[in-house]
Amino acid sequence: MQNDSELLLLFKSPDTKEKAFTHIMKKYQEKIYWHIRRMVIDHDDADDVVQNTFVKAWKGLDNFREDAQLYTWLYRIATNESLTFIEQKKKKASLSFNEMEQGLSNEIKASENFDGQKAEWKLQLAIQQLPEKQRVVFNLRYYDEMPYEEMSQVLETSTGALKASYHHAAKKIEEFILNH
Amino acid sequence: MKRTINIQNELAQLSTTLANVPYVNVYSIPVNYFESLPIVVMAKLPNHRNLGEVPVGYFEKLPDLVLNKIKLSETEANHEELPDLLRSLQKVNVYKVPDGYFDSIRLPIKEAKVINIQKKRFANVWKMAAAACVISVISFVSYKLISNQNENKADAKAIAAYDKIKNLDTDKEIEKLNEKDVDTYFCDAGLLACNEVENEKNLEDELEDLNITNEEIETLFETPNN
Repeated sequence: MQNDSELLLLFKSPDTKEKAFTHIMKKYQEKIYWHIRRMVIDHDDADDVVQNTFVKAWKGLDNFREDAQLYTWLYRIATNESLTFIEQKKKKASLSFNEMEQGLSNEIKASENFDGQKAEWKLQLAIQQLPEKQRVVFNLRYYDEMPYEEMSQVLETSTGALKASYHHAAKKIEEFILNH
Repeated sequence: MKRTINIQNELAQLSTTLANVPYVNVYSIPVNYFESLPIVVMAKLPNHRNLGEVPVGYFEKLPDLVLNKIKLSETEANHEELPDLLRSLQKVNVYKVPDGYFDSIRLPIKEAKVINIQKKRFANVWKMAAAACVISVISFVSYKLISNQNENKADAKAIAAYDKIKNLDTDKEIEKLNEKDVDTYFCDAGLLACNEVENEKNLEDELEDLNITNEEIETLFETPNN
């Protein structure tokens, strides 16, 4: 598979634009999907958000200046789309933050093969207790193992703040697991 | 799922409980979801071509595309038939060619063939003459074949007559013949003087007319002893 620079070059030509974008999708779709899924929990919701993410990427790729990695740029779009989705869902249902969290927890419990006694399922419930941006930081570090410098480009936050946020998130999750 | 060492170490420093949680993906997705996702997204793109439209030049390129795919699939199929050892070997050309070898090859350029129109006309006349000769030969051969058939018919009659004759009993047939017919035959065949035959006939008739007996004939022919 071609590297990002080659794909971006092919994207600029009308004859190869769609082919290049298909390659980009195939290269990053799984990472983007799971990043979104861990935020919105439900597959159908994640499907909607990931499609919106790539459509936005298509529209904005001509203006992408390559001052950051392509995949950090895609992560940024995906994160914004996920947070926007959650916000809209909250507004539609007139839910508070706590009610929204409860809703997501209920969706986790409704998942296939859910077992509340298992540590990995408790972890998912614990993550949903975190504030939205802290949730994103924890997921990007814990699951995607993203360096703080790249995470800084995704979230437009300093690396120091991100490290502190991750540490706090880890502590909260530990407390939840131990108490549930 | 496997975590990198530095992330695992960082986690262990933060929380041993968290570091010991199994690093697994608990969520499931529909089968073949990622195979269909690009297609779904492409269909949603703005200014995307309708299904009914075909890219410019598509049908001109299609035969080559299909042939290439066929060749590729045949190559892959052949490749699968190979033993593991051969499949694992890299396809490398081990032979070397002198520098500039292919540049030095010059194929002989054949001069363009010039066809003379007049020669063509003359050729047509020859063709007609040749055709006339062939027809003549065929006619002559046909005539000979037909005439041979007639001869064969005549020969066939003679053969039939000979077959009839060879089966005859000749002695019996000769007894049937009278002397007059025999004499006539020999005369016709030139084996006997035809006058003697006639004279012999006349003498007998004359003698019968004279009424001379045999005794008188014997007397005439006795020689005197005087």
